[in-house]
Amino acid sequence: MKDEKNILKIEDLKVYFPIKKGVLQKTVGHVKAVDGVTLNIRRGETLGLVGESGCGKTTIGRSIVRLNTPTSGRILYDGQDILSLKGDDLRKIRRKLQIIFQDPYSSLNPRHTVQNTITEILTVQMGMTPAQAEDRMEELLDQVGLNKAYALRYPHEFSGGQRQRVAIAKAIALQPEFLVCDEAVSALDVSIQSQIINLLMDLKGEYGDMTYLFISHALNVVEHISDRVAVMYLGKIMEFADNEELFSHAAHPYTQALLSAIPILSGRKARERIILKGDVPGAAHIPSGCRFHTRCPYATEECTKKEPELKDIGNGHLVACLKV
Amino acid sequence: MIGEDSLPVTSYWKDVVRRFCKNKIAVIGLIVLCIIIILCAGAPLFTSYDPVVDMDFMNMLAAPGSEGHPLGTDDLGRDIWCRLLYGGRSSLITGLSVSLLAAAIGVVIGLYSGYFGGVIESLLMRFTDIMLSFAFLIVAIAIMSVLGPSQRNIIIALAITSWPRFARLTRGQVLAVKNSEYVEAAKVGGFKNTRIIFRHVLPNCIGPLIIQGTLSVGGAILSAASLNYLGLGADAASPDWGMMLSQGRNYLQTASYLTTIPGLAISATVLTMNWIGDGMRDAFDPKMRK
Amino acid sequence: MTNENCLEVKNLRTWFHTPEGIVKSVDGISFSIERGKTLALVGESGCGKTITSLSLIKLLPETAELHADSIILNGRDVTNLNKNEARKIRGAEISMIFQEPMTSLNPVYRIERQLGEVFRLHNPGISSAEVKQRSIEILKKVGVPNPEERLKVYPHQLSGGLRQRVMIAISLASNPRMVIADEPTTALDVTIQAQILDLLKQLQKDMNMSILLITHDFGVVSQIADRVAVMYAGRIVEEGKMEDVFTDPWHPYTKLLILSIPGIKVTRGNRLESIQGSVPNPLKFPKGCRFAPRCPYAKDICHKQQPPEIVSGDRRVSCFLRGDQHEG
Repeated sequence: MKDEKNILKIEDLKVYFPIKKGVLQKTVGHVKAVDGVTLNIRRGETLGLVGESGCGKTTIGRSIVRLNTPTSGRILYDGQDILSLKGDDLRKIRRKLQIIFQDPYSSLNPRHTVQNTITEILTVQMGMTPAQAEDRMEELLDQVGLNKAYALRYPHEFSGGQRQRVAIAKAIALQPEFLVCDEAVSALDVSIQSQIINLLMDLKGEYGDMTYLFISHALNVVEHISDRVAVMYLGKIMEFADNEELFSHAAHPYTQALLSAIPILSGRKARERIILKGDVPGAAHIPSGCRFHTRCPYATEECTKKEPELKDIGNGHLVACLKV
Repeated sequence: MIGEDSLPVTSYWKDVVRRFCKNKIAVIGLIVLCIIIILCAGAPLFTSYDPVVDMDFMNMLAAPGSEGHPLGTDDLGRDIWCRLLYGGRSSLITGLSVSLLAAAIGVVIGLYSGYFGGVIESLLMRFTDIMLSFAFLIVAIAIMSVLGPSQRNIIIALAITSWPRFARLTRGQVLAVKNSEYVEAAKVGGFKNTRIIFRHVLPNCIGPLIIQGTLSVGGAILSAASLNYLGLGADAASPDWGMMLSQGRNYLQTASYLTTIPGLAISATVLTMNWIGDGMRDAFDPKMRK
Repeated sequence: MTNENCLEVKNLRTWFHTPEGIVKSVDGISFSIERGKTLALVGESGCGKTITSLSLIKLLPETAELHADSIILNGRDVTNLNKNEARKIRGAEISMIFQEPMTSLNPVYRIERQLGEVFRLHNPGISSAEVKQRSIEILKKVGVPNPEERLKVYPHQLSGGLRQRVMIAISLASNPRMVIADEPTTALDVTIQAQILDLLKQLQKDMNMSILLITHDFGVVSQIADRVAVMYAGRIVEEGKMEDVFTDPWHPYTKLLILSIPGIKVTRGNRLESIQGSVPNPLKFPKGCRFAPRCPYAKDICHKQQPPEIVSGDRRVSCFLRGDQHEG
């Protein structure tokens, strides 16, 4: 059944990758990239998903667009479980869920010109004639701010920012309803980053309020663009709240540490610096109890034994911490 | 990248041709190959003899430069130049056919096994390995005994023994390419696997395959020679470079030109194919655009 | 009491000879760093900041041509050193921390060997026991837990943060007075980044060393730099105390760059500032100010002549507009 408010619902998603060793490739353990994530994304919002490397945010993004196979859990898009779809049904739903990758240098086929790339999508997936496709391609290039003279160029002839624009044009060619931005601006120079961020914000409005899942480790970018934010650590969500609430009243120690690491640039009030001790444990050896306890400045004995659940501390602000 | 407006815009194929033409060696190779093909295809225009029946009993084993026989004659008095031209037809057709047929089979097998992985890959690759382990001669003889000796069957037999190399090469290339983000993007775009394999994966694997293709032409010509020599091909009388090479072995001491001349023809063809192959590989690579 | 300068660079030029012409990666920059202080060299890709660092440590490729009016390191003129002399000062006087510890640490040697190498190089005749002791000491200093065990491992067995600490240990093993840190934290997670920057600040205090920090990340700059120099197209367009430049940038490029970063002045949900166009082709720099083609405030003269350098107190900027007290 369709949920009017939430366009995407992730229910207890687990994505485990087996670790194989030895000649016979026996499975000796699992990398628990995503270890039980439940998340509801509202129609038309921009949900920021933050965390450091290995936290599972990219894995979730890829699961949504069916680029990996989750171990268990459901992902409901408009009420439909997309993880169980196959063949033509899957292909039909793919139109609605698109992704922009981080690396503008590898997400475009080096042997296809921009024209090839975009018109292929339009003719094959949208059923346009070549003439229609070419017109629409010019429209799309215009929307992403690329001169249509570049259509016959190859990817390697473009700069990083231009390539990312092509990737965006490609993604919106299908008129998706849901766009996963997987570190879409992280590999770009600052001045190009701002252009692409502006572009993403503009496009959202133009396309009838697309929903964005904005995955990034750059908290300041997430703060600028997101409506609500989820913070992940080692495969689970640690905190989830409205943008303003999270950035001004972060409750989880990990979030607080992350925020304190945001540069204190002119005009912002200085945060107390919290330096975490130790390194991020590998996702193959998740600590017992609360997985953050090995680095947490407030950890106690209880934290090593019991794994905290996400609980609501008011106004939809969710925190997974025993101390809160 | 700087200078957005500095490069003129052309179509894909014009670009390929332009890049190819910039490679002098490749162009020379192409010209030489064309000459060879013209000479062989238009053999009756360039020689008045018949390669099989015209035997000049007065002038058997005449050395090159003899009157009426610019490249000499063989042990039956047949004109070498004439046999070279007609023989070229046979050898070239054999070489090219084997290469194309082996590529067609091998590349498809390599593509599917590399792309899908899992059980499909295991089965196909084990099959490939088994085929690779058979000496071509044994397989060829086996096939010949079933199908009967003829030039066409030589082509089939050699194609069957050559495709495994293409399959392995292709599979290796596919493995490298299939996890690229643009392939993933194509999947997310909802394209069918067939389209992804042939339009996205294959074009990015094609470089080494072209080289292998051109190399196998030369190899096929030589292998066909051995088979012809063993009597598995068409009759020994009809001309074929490989045949000529083998038959001349009896006269290495006395009339070495019987071997060297067809040998040079084979080498020249193989060499030009290599040059062309290199040129084509570079021409298809958009990154080499200058 | 003025602090003496650890490094003084005057008019450094590093050019590359390519088939298409001369690429002027670094085209006349001058700066100085006081002992015990940090200067951050900021700019986007292609501005020449990495080439600057390689020029100072003399690790340029063969096609490079280096000229400078003078480069004075610890009071010594090192402008024109040959390979042997350069090798001697590397490590002892000036050292470098690279961006990617996985590729700058040799993957086939254990940590103890790579660390030990440095000690042996600069202390000929040193005993193995002393090398081991010093190695452990320096690993402790950079905050590596269980240093005795860590000596025996290979780089790939360490996490990113630890590898970077080891890299720092190697750079500091010979007690250099000047360290160049080239994007030292770009490859690291944010929380680890904070640790490493903190470590660098601490070490700087303990060892009274100067740091030349090369980065594109203003956040990193704000955490440990005393002064900042902004580079564009091979030149320094602005330089001054970190707080001054951030709160009141003088050069349009600096201004726009800072406004492009989300979270500074532009509030949530609004459009960010952006800079039109792209970096000029290093083979054909424009006549006049190199930023003029992209500058929203450019006047006629900006396109025709090189801007003068205007010095005011301890700040300087290369811009025609400064004279008019331009308000951005």
